[in-house]
Amino acid sequence: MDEYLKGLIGKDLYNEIISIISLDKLSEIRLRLDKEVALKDVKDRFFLKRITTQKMINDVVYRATNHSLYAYQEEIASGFIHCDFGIRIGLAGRGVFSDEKIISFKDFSSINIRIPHEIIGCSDQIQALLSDFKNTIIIAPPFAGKTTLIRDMARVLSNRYDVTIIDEREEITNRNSHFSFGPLCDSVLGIPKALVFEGIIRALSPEIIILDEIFPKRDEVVVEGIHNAGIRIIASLHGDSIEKFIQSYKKLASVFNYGVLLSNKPHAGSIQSIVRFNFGD
Amino acid sequence: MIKWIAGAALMVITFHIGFHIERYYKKRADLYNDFLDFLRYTAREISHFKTNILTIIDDYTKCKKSTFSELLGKVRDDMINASTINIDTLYLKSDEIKEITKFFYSIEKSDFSSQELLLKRYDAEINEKACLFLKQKKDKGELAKKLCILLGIGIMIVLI
Repeated sequence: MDEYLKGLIGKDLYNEIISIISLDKLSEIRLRLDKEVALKDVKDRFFLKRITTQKMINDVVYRATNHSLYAYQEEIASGFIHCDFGIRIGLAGRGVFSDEKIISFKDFSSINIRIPHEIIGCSDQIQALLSDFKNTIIIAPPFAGKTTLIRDMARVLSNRYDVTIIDEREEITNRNSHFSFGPLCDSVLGIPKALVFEGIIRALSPEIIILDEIFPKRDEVVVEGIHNAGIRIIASLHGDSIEKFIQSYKKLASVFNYGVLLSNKPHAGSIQSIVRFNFGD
Repeated sequence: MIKWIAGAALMVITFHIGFHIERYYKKRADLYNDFLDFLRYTAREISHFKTNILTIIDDYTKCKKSTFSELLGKVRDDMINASTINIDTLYLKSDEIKEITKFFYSIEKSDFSSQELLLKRYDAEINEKACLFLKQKKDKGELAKKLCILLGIGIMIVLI
């Protein structure tokens, strides 16, 4: 991954970053126009003396899109670009709007390069939930380790069950990822959950489906469809309270047997609570 | 004897010049014909698969070995490693090099909806030029070769 990252951000910036923080700890590189380059690990934030220029931002965007903005248009319209090795780039800039839809972004003013880390064994903390697996929802605010936990759960479960990961944003796995999964793992990448779940149920016959970052209003039908087909589910959701989730989305919550709340304090990946829901089966 | 040697040498030189002139026109026609072929391949890859331009160049150059493929390989390297694309070939004039370079800058930065228009516009322009260069290859290139051969034979006859 280091060679890829070097190519993506440029050799000079890469060397400057590595002199401050090692790659295995680095979680985020933020380039904000005319501001100092900001770095983040699981606990702290660091700043480089280097000031971000428009050229630095544009160069990263062009490299990340393999010099083909058109090939990443849907992703750019959703505000991100997925890269090799599970690296994701969040985008900020001027949106291009047409027919009440964002069709693209231009004049990029900030980018957030997020570097994934595989923490093998991080799901050991919820081992009891994995042994006789039932529908589980992971709730966490951003940068709290949802994807890392889900990835490790997928690794453990795909040794025993046929697991399909529906990875719309290619964050859990992707084509060139180095992540470890069991022998029974399939992944469907880059397609909206709602468009693909029926085909997966029919064709891949999974025992467990993993959905990263569901949005209740949009994905409720998907979760219910999978549940009604008799397939178990792991899903993750942005939030900071299991109670709030149950109150706000009672119907959706009734699909799940367990809720795991993660926090980014004291550090990303901290489990705050595990709740067994009273509804469910 | 010296006349024979001088005549033969001059004949070889004129033949050589003739073949070079023909080769120049042939290469120009081939380059534009291959560029047109590449444009059509790119249009198919983008409209069906939204394949990125680096992969398109990789796949195309693997399947087709030609002067244009070598030039494409250089464009690819420049896109990855340099901030500007530099095309260097004896067979194209500076405005033609600029036209090809501009295509790659445009495709790199435009969105999906602009691609179809861009590729159609280039297809029409390059098709027209490819036809013109093919005609020039026949009219000028082959004519120049024949004239040079005749000139060489003529010199030989005059000298002996």
